[in-house]
Amino acid sequence: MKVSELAEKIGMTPLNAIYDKDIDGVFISDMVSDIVSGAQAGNLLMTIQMHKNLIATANLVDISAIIFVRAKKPLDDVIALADKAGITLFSSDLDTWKLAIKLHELGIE
Amino acid sequence: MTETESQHEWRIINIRNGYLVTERCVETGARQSFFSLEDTPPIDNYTDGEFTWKYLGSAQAVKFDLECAKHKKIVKLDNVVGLMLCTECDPTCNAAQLANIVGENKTWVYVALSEDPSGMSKAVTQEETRALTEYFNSRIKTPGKKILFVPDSFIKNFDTCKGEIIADMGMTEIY
Repeated sequence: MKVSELAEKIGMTPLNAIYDKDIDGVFISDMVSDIVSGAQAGNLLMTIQMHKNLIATANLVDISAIIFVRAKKPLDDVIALADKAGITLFSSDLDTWKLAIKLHELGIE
Repeated sequence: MTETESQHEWRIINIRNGYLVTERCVETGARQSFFSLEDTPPIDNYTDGEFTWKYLGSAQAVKFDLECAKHKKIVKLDNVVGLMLCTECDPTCNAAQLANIVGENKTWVYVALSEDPSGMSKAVTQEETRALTEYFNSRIKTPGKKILFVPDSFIKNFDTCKGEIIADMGMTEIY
């Protein structure tokens, strides 16, 4: 599934431009040290972590897109770095559990 | 074809979760960081030769080694205590200048941090930066994108550097 398809199917508006990468699996974590050693390239990342170093980490492991759960929204400098890295950011009102169920129903594992 | 000529198939091994602890010498102003595997990050001040080290802060972090599945070669990243994205904050810094040049080719410069940024001891080796570069590049799916690791000797001034360190800052502190 492409990032644009995800946005449409789940009804989320991106916080930045859509960089239409392929989504290959999901990784859920709020710790960059966990993401760097555990996430796979192409993963969709779900998190509440909004520090700028999240983008540095996501870029290093080639995350396809990030969803901030529980309506979290990062600062402008974080969004700007995500734009430079070509990583689409979303903010969802749902919590991690409910969003994970929704993604599962969409066939994203 | 020799081992160096054929492509490695790196994978992460020996993942250790711990703390990246940073200290400053109250006498000389020198700074050092180290990776601690203790249950809580050590915060005691201590004297070591001419240095009197004072705890500055810590962050949860991860350490790992790399193994080539094809050649069974292991690169122990003993000298690497952390990873950092160069944000090109200082145009006179070698890392920023390199990032500016290679950035046009979608290449991102990351810095392998050592315990002693002055490079006087335990400097990150070329083998370590090469293995890190090869490992992270081998995972990338985004077309054209590349990662380039350099040692922290590229950083002009750590006191003013605004690079993004990949560590969980503040997660062990209570505010």
